[in-house]
Formats: sequence, C-alpha cells, structure tokens
Amino acid sequence: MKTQIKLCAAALALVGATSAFAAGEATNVIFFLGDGMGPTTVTASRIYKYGEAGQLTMESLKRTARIKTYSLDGQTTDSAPSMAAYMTGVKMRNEVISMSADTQPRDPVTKKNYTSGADSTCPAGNGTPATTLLELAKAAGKSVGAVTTTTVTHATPAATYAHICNRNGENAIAAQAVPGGAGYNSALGAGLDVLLGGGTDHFLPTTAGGRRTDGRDLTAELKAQGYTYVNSGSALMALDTAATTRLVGLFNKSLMNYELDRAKPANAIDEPSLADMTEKAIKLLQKNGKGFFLMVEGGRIDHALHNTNAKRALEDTVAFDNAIKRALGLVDLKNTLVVVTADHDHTMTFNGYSHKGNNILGKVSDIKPTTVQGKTVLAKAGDGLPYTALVFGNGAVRKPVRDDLTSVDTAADDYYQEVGVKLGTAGNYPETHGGGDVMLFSSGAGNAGFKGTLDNTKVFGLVKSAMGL
Amino acid sequence: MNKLILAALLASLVPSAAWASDLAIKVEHEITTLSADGVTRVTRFGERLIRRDNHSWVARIIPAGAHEEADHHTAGKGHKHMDIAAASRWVELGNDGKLRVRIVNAHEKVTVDITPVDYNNIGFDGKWTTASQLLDPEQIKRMKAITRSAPAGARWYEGGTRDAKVQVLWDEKDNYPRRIDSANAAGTSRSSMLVTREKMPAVMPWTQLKGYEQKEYSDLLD
Repeated sequence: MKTQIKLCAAALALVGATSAFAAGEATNVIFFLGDGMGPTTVTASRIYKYGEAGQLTMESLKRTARIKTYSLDGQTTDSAPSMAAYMTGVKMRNEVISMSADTQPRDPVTKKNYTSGADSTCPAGNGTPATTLLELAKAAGKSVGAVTTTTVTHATPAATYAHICNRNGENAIAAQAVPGGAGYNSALGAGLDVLLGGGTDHFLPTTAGGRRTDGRDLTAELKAQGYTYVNSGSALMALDTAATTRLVGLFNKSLMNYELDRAKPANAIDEPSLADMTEKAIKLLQKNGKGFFLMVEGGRIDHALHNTNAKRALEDTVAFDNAIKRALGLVDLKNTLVVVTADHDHTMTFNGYSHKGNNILGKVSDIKPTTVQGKTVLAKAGDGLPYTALVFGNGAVRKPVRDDLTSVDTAADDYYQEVGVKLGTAGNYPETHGGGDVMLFSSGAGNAGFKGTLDNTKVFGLVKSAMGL
Repeated sequence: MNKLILAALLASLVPSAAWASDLAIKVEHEITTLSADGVTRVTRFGERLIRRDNHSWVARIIPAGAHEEADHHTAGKGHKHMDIAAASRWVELGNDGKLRVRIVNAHEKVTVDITPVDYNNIGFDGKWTTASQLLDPEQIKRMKAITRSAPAGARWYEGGTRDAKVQVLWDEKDNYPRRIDSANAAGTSRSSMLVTREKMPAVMPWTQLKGYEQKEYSDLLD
C-alpha cells in the first residue's frame, strides 16, 4: 500500500513538473540577446570564425526553438516591441517599450512621434507599464543587471528596466534607472545592481556636453545613491567586484565601438569587450544568495547589418558568442538558465555555390572550374561580373554602377555588400530588418520548455516559470 | 608703448590665412557600361557643390518630376529611418583642421552629425580637398601633363593604369577639375564628369537651417 502511494505521489510529482516545465529550478537567469542576429548571421559567423564544420558556443546549448518576431502592428518588428515581448509577454506596437498593448508611440492624427529630440512627450493615459522579468526578479530579492554594446538607454536594455511609449525618449529612459530622482521607475525597488554600456549623452546635461535638457547630471546622482561609476575599459577591469555593491559603467558618449575597431590597439579605444563586461557583471551579481537576472546584448550586430557591412556584423557576433563562452565558465547550469536569442532578423542572405572553405566574406567561387584548376575561379552574375557570397535583400545605394569585384577586397573592414532593392542614398536609408523567424538556444535549469516554434511572447512565461516567479 | 598693445597691433597687420575664393559648380556624371550579357547601361546624375571659405555643400540635382512631393507628406513614418534619398552633405573645416560633417534632409528638417567612423557609410572619403574642390591637387601632381587641346586657363593631365586610363582637365587658376574622363582598356566601361561654373547663390544653404532638428547617425539606426 505504502509503495503504491509512494508511486502515485511520484507519478503526480512528475506530471506536475512536466506541465510546469520544472518550475522554479533556475536561481539565476542570463538572457543573451544578439540584436538582429538572424539565422544567416549565425551561420556566417560560425563559418567566419570556426569553418563550416565548426561550432559557435551558442550552438553547443542543448535546446533550440524557432521564434516568431512580429509585433502588434508590424509584420517586421523593431527592437522595442520584440525585446519587450520577451521581457513582458505582451505584444505591443513598433517603437513601444514594455507598455500595454493600447500604447501609441506617436500621435495617431498628426503622426508625430511622442518625442522631442531625446526627451519624451508621451501623454498621460497613453497605456500602462507592463511588468518585466527583471522587475519580477528584483521583487523576489534577486540582483539584476543589463549589459550592452549600445547605449544603456537603447531599446533592448531599456525594455528590461523601463517603460515608455516611444523608444527615442532616451533621456527619460535614463532617468527611470536613477533611484531618488524625478522619473525613477519605482518597480526597480532599490535600483538596478549593474548597468554597463554606452550613452553618457543621456546621463549628462547639455552644459556638460551631453544631451539632457533638464540640467541633471545622472552620473553624479547615481554616485550619491551609492553606485560605483566607471567610464573606461581600464577602470572596469581594475574594479574589485568583491568590494563593489552596485555598478554603472558608461564607456562612450553614444554607442560603443564595433568589436573590430575596439580591438585594434592602433585605435587606442579604452572600452571593455562584451565578454569582460559580462564577467564583471556576473561576479558582482553572483554575490546575492537569492540569485540574479542578467541581460547581455550584442547590440551592434544589428547596426553593422543596417550598414550592409557584413564583416563588422560577423565580428560582433563572435564577440557576443565569446561573452556566452565567458559566462558559461562562471555559472553552474544546474541552477542557472541560459537563453540565447535574437529580437529579429535582417536581410542578409548567403548565396551561390562556392566550394567548401571559400572565404565567407569573399566572392562566390565557381565550384567546378575551381576544383579542376585547383585555384579559385570566380562565378559570374548575369552581367559577367563576380558577386559576393553574402548580399543583402535591401539597403543603401553606394555606387551608381556595379563595381567589377574581381580586384576588390570584399573581406576588407569597410567593404559594403551589394543589395537587391535600393532603398536610398548611402547613410540616409540603411537596410531594413527582416521578418523571418529567429533561433533560440538554451541550456541549464528550467530549459525544458524552449522547443518548437514559439511566439516571442511565450518566452516570457517560460523564463518566469523557470525562475519560479 | 605697452608690449601687449604692440603685439596686438602687429597681429592685426598680419593677414589671416586666406581661404580659396568662392566656388559654385554643377557636376554632371555619365557612366556607360557594356556587360557580358550584351546590355549597355547608361547612368546619369548631377550634383551642385557650393564652397565658401571653410564651408562646402553638395546636393544631388533632382530633375522636375523625378518624385512626387506628396509622397513626403503622406508616407507613413512607421519607423526611424529617413524616408528620402539624396540628402545634402555639409562639410565644415574647423580652425583646428578637423572636419564637421553633416547630412541635411530638407523635407524632414533634420541635420545628422556624421563622425569619422561613419564617413564610409555616406560615401565620404574624409578629405577637405574632396569636399571643397572635388579632387585632391596632390593627385594632379602624380599625373602627366599631355598635349590634348585645352581651353584657356586649363590643362589636361593623364594618369591611371594599363587597365584603366584617366584624363583630368584641371583649371589652373581656381584649382578644380573641369572634366574627368576615364575608360577601361577593354572598352566596356567609360565615364565622364563635366563641371560647369555657376553663380554663387544669394544665400548660403547652411544659413537656412533654422528650426532643424539635430540628430546623430546612430539615431538613424535601430
């Protein structure tokens, strides 16, 4: 009889565990977001760094899922509602950050954005805040943080800790992160524990060379609230996380540099790598026995793709992958959930029939004569000229006529791939996002639910459940 | 006499470095290519360059009827990116020798600051000579003067490689190329750039930007 009851109880427990996807197993969550890092970008980065048969660290994670990224009003989304979908479970309009579905980012009649420069002009009564995973974690006593290579007030990090009707109001978003000041997001409790990235522009007043119009110096206010503030890579590396309670690091006036440029000693850029920022953040957050929620963004993969500059996109993806590798070496997957995904795709595509081993940034090789002759023979497009393996569906017009790429180094840092649909003059109309599904990779505690094709809003529930919140 | 006053007097007598004289030119490009599929393609476009002192302004010539004015007003601003192609490029040379580069969109009344990191994205090579006189005179020094018949005040120079020749008709007084012809040896590609002097406008375009919103290039990206 006892055995039967035991077996029943065990069976019931199993059923409960499966349906709740091992609820509450994850003490810690690290949510990695590769901005714009769609499937082609992942494949190309793998080939770039490790060859066709190689493997990025993110590809070693055990679970995979496909994610649908459309927003409330956009077949193709932008980073604001897509990250907000992951963070809140709510589907909202393009440009809206972690607000209810009825929120409007611009006046429906005049079509003017509810922003003035980098200030918010969101009217009262325009939607309500939607609770984020970071806020839920904070309320449960965990330490929380966000790390990015964009400005810390950019859409992706903002969606973790702020609520605003239009993502362009970066000055207002910055204020939401500063405890004790006007505009603070009180759902953050005592405040974020770690915030690292670029964007001093939105923390300093115009009188100090920033873009704040309210005269406030938010870095001074944060210091007064007990934050350690650093503004260089060397200062961050010198930081003793054991002796630091909470940390803000702003390493550029605006966006941080692309990894390709940051890593060149000749450029003398004193900014930390994403892997280094991730390590410092984890070491600081890990001190909390109740666990932590950390978001890490490879934010400028998206920007390089907008510029149809594949090389910088691949280098930033590898840097993002290195941050994942660094994190996996610092945490225990038995109590930590690691999720790696993208907010949306871009239009980069991988074309032609090159021979295996061809430079992914190079021109497409014609596999038959290449094999016969033992040296690379270039394939030709309809106009008799070679073309690159990586091209974009749309983007800026850079040249009035197509170059003969035969003697052009398409693997050079500043080479811009060709585009199918020409959207406008260079710099005025960068490439668009893509509407295709993205990949999600996951390992660690509570990862059982990350499978199949999921709407991006579903990810919120899976992470929340994994944390037992 | 007070040493300071003397120094000031002397300073006022020394002329400050003189800027090149005003330049207003219409630049017309025509590029003809014959591709392996037997198709001949002719591409034509024009720009106007205005230079005064340390300011240079380059704007694409949009022929009448090329696009509908109405499109600007009704086009949905669903997203951040600028809606219109061919904004103007404004380059300012500072006293410290550094450039301030902006692209200006008249329809949206926006100026966008471009830092050296993003020069390539707007097709600018970062040189004041390119912005102010189309071609760096240093390049002329590396070319050979030829006897091709030239109008008064100008001289033909030739350069390039075995595969592609370039000829430049250089205005010797005002230091700008009046014409640039290039062609490849195979005969499948040729281009010509024709420059016509014009009158300086009554007002400089960079003084007409009152009320324009100032953005950074990163604001155009997601």
